[in-house]
Amino acid sequence: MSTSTVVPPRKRLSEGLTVTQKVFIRSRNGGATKIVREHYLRNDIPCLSKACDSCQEIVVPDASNQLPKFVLSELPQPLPNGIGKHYVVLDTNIILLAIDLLENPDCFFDVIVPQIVLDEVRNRSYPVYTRLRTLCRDSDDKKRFIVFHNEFNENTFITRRENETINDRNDRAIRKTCEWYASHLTKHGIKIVLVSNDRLNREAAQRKQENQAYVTKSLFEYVSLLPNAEDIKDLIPNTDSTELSDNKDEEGLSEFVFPEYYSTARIMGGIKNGVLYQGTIQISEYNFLEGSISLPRFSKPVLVVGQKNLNRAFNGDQVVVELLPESEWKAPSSIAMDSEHFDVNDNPDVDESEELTDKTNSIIISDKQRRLLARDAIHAQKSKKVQPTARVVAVTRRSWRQYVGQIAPSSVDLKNGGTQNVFVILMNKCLPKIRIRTRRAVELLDKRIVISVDSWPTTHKYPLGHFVRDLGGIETVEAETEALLLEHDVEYRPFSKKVLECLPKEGHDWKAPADLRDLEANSKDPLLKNRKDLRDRLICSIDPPGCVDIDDALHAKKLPNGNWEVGVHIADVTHFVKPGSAVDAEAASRGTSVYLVDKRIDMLPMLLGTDLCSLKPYVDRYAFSVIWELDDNADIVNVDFTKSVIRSREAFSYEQAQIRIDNLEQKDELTLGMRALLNFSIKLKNKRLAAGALNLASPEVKVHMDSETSDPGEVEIKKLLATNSLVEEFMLLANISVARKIYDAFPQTAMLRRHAAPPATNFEILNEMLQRRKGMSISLESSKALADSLDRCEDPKDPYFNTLVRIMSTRCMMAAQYFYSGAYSYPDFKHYGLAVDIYTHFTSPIRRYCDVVAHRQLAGAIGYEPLSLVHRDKHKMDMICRNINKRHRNAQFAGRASIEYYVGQVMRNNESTESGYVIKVFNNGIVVLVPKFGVEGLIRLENLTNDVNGAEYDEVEFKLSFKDKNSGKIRDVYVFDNVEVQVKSVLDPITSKRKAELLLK
Amino acid sequence: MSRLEIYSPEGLRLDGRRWNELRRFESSINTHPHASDGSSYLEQGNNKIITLVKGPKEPNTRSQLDPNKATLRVTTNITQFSKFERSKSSHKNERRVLEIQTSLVRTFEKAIMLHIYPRTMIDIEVHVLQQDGGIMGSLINGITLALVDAGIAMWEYISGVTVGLYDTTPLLDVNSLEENAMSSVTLGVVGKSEKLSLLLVEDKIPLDRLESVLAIGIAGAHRIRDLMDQELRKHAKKRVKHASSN
Amino acid sequence: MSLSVAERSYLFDSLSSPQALRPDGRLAHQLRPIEVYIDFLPSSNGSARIIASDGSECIISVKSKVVDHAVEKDLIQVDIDIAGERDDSLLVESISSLFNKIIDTIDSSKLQLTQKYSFKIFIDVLVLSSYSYPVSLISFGIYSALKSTYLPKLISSFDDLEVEELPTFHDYDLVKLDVSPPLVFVLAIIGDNIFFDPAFNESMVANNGLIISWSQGKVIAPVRTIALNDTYVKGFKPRLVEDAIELVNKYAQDIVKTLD
Repeated sequence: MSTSTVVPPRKRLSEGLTVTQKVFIRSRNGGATKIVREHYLRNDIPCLSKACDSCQEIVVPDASNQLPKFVLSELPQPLPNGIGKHYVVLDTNIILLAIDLLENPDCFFDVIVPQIVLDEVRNRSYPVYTRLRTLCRDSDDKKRFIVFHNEFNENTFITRRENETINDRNDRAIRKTCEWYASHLTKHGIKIVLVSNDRLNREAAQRKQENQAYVTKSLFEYVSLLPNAEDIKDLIPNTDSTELSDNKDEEGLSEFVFPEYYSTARIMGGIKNGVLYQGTIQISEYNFLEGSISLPRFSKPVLVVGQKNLNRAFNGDQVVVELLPESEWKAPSSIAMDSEHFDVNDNPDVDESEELTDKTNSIIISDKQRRLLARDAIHAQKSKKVQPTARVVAVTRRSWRQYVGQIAPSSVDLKNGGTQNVFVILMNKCLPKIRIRTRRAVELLDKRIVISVDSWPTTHKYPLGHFVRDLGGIETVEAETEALLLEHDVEYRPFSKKVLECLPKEGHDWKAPADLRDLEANSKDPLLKNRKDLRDRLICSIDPPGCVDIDDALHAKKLPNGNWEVGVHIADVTHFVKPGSAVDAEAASRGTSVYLVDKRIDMLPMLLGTDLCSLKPYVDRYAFSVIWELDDNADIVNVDFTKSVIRSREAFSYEQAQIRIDNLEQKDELTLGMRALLNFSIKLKNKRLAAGALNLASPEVKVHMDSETSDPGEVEIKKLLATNSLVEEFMLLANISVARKIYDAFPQTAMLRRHAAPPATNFEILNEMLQRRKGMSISLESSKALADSLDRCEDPKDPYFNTLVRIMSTRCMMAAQYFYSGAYSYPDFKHYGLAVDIYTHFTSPIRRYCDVVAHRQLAGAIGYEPLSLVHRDKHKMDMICRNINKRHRNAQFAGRASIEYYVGQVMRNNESTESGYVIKVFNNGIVVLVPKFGVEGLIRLENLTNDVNGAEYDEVEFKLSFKDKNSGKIRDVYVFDNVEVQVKSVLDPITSKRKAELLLK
Repeated sequence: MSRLEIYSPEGLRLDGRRWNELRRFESSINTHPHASDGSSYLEQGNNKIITLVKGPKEPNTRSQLDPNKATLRVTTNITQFSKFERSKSSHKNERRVLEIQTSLVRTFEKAIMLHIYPRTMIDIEVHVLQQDGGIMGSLINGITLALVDAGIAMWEYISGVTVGLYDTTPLLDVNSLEENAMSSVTLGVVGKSEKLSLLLVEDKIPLDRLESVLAIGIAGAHRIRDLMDQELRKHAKKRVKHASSN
Repeated sequence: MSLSVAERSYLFDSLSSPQALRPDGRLAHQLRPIEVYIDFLPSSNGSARIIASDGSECIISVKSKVVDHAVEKDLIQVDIDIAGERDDSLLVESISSLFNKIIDTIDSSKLQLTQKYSFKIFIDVLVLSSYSYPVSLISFGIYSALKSTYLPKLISSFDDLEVEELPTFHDYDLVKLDVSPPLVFVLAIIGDNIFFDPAFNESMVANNGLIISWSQGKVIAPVRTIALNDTYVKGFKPRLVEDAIELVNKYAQDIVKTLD
């Protein structure tokens, strides 16, 4: 068998430009295609060192006529051991492993990233690539990172050799780059240090050059050379393959071995032939050793049970699974288990040698049999007694990020002052604990710390990670707030200089022009002439008390024909935030403002959010207005959209507005308008409800802060006034009108929001509970039917029962999502909860990015200004939608977590007995919701009874019977039962997490 | 797919060119003297195109006869093997191909002095052996070369090139990877003038960007005209030398 | 191009006489010179461009695709495209069917990748121009293209029946396709004489044409007759077929050597 490696010819085209061909085989879905691409080599790629004078001669400007910036310092950091001044060249493995370290402001200066490394990083991990690119872009003066296009430089390009693997070839290319830089910079006395954790690459580098033109170091060796090595060593990622320490990490190994993952060929073949399945794994909130995967072929999620079957998958990883033989299928577990309480006494240095008999591996099942198995599995799901189970055979995409946690005290050897292995328990209880090596274990006890996961070798029971930084003491407000922001991936750092530079120069002195026809103002803003002057309208805003970012304001005015002109005016954010600007990019990436109990993380800089855009009273502000003509039935006669300038007459709180409307003495025009608005809003709401809009509930509570000490005082359930609903109805109306308009103008890329109907399976359990316990049921035929059936779920003896059902139904609903109109067909645009055919978010551009896009599209639709290409490109809109969906979700979680934390703090001081409801029954505990605090908690069987084995669980009746701890009598607890619980807040000794602990009275 | 760095912050494209650089452009004429009256072989990047011109000749049917001028016909054969993946259909009679043919006829009707060849037919046959983006521009260039080789009188050279627009950066002479990632404009430029005999915009391009796209396109087309001119003159010299040595 | 009656009669007389003299001076078994270029289409797995001295020209591309050989039985497919001819014209269809028949003689086990998958080879022939019956030229072109064909190298396992795998390939290395493609010869019968590779003018006076396929040292089916013109065609002695086959057997090996 002869192989061919045709060396592609190089052809000189002109001075400094040569062309060659890049040939490779693309294997995809079992096919193999020969790909040939042109590859141009050039001599005008500079080294970008300030020390170099020759490269200044060769540079050429780019498309915007900018010359490249020479970034690398002429006086870089010197290293000991005779190395002296140096630049660093990074290998791919270092970037993938230690991007956190590279971002650290105290090490890694003057770094060269070869293009081939950048390409490899991009193929392996796009997020790391983005971070690296950001680092190169923003590190001009401090960190000084550059990308050197070695593949396009005729001096550093190399052709692949016969029988050379692509990795070897790329390693050789990196070494070639080092050689070139080394010889290029010798005369300036700057050394090149290649940092690589690939021993073979380092050895090859040393073998090749006896004269040691450049130096090679592993990450650990390199860091050891730095003056601040001691501080940084802890931050070095923990992998088995790195030679972190030469005493080898052997104590971490054990006989416990996870199954190896399948080969790519096997996975591709299996997926294609329907014997393997790919999906995102969701670890159960109540049991960290049970995961489930929703797969299109199966009507219900497939279970993955047990450590070995989960096979190192993290919550949220994209994994490939295969079904287990029928003998191992089981009922979904009704046991609750947290990672923190599992194997508490594991020693991080010795992974227990647990004998897990691996039956599945000993049975060889052919793919034909597997297909039959899949058929049985689908069948079994319908019969519902046994659930098919599966095991993870590969992880295709890791969801790893930085996590917040704390060191498990039991894993620390207090007497050991040196480096030791310790466990970190993560705040997210779906995740396993992480094993890290640190020198500062003792010091970090009782601290919230950030760690990063590096690897999970088959030989380790727990994943390996490394320490990133500490956030501060457990239960300090700062640490806890930062922890929850980090946990929910909320960007909370102050806005960068580049972002702030985009704001109007006038700052807080910015003023809308007094006269829109003013020539000077018009010459500055050519779009000004398209703005309508609405300063004569009696506009006011109604918001929660203390609101500073006022997005919306309203007015109503009686028209001569008897109809009403009603206007909704929304802050004109897009006047200040132009597409493509740095502030736009930042807002797009943040996606939403995040509201915590004591803190707001803004999407836009303060100057815009709370001043220039905010529709404050008594000053002129730019707005985007939706103006309807409504008849007496609140039917729309006409709608108009315009950019405008307005002056709000008053900023009310809901309560103030309510008082003013209720006070019949007030007969001024503003109040009359407000009354009209209120009347219309009631009509609109009734229409909506008649159409089947849902009235769902969530246990929303509000934490009152003591204004002096800013300590949380008490918890209160949110109250709703008629004026809340006034604003809400008009916002809904505006959103719907805008959605129609932009969909009309941009049928493929309009920014919309949809809410899918919930699949019947979501309600299965709830319905069964209702059926069994109360003889009720929820209809899923339509949103109208659902709304009506919810109304019927009344317990005459318990007024709260209806709300409870609504809360539980809310959890069964689908989440609403942002999307671009090309992504779905029109019938799927439907917003189920609001019962409208099309919907978007338009009314809060200060705090939501969707609204910013909707504003731009509406401006495009009415011909105010042309729409940016970004919002006309399906692909880019897809990226925007994905991001804001994610951010929106995270913001909600972060908000809830914040409330949870403060509720915990409130309860810390007041232990009390409250009324609660049983919402779930397991065979080893019950979950109780306490409406007063909006908290819910698991009460374990151990805490219910002294006779754990005597307890009986009836899954048909949703009943748990046990001998009561206090009375000693047999007690039956059913789902929906109203129970008295003792609520107190306790600090879990292992996780240091404050939780509401509930005890049955 | 869009995860590629189409245009890197350092100002380089996927294949290593800068924004304003053409691909390799190599051509030869009179490549098929037996099979045609004029012929050319063109490699523009990895586009490989053979063009054969037959005529002016007697039309095959009466409908092709025009008493005042020559009739022009362009047949484009995009071979099934011209892309990386072999296509299932032989692109003949595909709408896209018919459109290309019509645009090419329109482009060259203006460039050829058809009136001096009344009652004849000029048959242009193009075979695309390999394609890698910006094919329309290459077709124009191949036809111009073959027409000159056939000795058919033209007012001016027509040179073609495709320019893409990536965000706000125009990229000259796009290859297939670039062409798939962005909207692009194909120009046919008359000689060294700024006159366009063809402007094809297949996707949305914001109006305010069109000017910069056209500017670089015209500059690129002028460069191609010069490259074609060089080749023709080189060939002519060789022929003259050949003739005089006989 | 057409010949006058006098020209044709002269040609026929000189070619049918026992001491036949070919107008271009060739011996009866000599072919006209051809030029072959290979590998000029880098994005194909194999390619050839073949030009005869009269300006006839063919371009051949070989491309591969991975198929499930339980579904796809024909592992080699030839598509012929003759410039100026419709795809459903008689000429194109007869040449296509001829080649798809003789190409079956290639041992397709060479294309098997795994228990389940094989390469399928697509041979696309583009005849740019031709002045005599082009089958011989096409077969030489296909021969050269297949001989210079390199296919992706399998790196996943061969046995994929029990545990299914999708084939994966080396990202760079290619393996030379090792097959012996058949050749096709056109012979003209004029009187009792047989001539290899008749030129245009010889075809015009041929009493009949023979298409003889040859592979690996021997003549193979099909052997066909073909009318090379409209006026001179008539029957011939069966012995001449045997002679022709003998002639092919005698000289084909030399031609293969030259092509290699």
